[in-house]
Amino acid sequence: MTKRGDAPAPEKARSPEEHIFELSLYLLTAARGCVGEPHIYGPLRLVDAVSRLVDIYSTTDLIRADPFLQKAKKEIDENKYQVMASEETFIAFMDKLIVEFTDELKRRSELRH
Amino acid sequence: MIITQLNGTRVLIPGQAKQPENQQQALFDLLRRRHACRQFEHRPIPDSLLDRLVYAAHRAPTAGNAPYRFVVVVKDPTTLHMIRLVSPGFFGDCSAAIFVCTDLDIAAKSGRQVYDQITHYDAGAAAENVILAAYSMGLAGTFIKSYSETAVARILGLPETCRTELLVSIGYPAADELKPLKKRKGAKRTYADRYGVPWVKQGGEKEG
Repeated sequence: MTKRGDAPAPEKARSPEEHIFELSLYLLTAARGCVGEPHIYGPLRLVDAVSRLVDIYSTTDLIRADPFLQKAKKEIDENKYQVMASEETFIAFMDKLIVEFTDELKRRSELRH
Repeated sequence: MIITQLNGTRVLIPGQAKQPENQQQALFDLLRRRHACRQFEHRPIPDSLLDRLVYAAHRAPTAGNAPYRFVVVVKDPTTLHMIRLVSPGFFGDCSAAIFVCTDLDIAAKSGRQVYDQITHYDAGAAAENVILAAYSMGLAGTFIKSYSETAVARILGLPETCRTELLVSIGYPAADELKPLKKRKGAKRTYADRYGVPWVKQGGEKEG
């Protein structure tokens, strides 16, 4: 078996404009789904949206890829399914992400000043 | 060695005695391997295998043997991409998807209970058949219900008298697929004779 990504890529957004449209559609259908789905799926969809948002780097060279966000995306994709095993683990994962993002925010703020 | 009837005559067939046991073991191995796969290789599934998945779906029962269930096999990459975009619960780039659907006009003729409830159960049975058949052929996938029914119906061109029940993603599992999730605590509750009396496991399959 080949690893993920070794084989030809399936159809994906080819431009940032297309990506923004597709992400908007994801958010819209996710919002509709939240009406009847388990409550914890709301947080899951938002966290997953962060991962999908980061995909925009693969559609253009006009914006510089952000290694921190790309690492966060990998982390999200590896942990988001925990929501189906243990809500507590998924909540702890979100808290961990927030700590990482906050520390990164502080680091970036210090660099700016 | 097994004794069987052939034209009324008892005959001995060497080497056949273990067959039923092997078949049983194969089924239980399949049940053990069955999980929700959400990471796939990017390679197409031969039509011959999709045919077998369709066969598996239609082997599932329907109430009163009424023909209200149908399936839609999606393998066109553009259609699959559109489906994925309107399905927040559709993770992974699988190569095909099978929608288990109900023709509501036919279901309505079978009565309210069939229309409201049993069509869902039957769709679940068909979807599980598809998943088990998929795993038996080296494929994998999972059930998906987190999709916009409105959007999916428009993409598939479904008439208003038809309803999608479940989506089954199908593909070749990625070599670096994430480890399957464990069952949650309490997910295997089993009672003996009445509610609350625990079923005491005597043997059978190892838990896992």
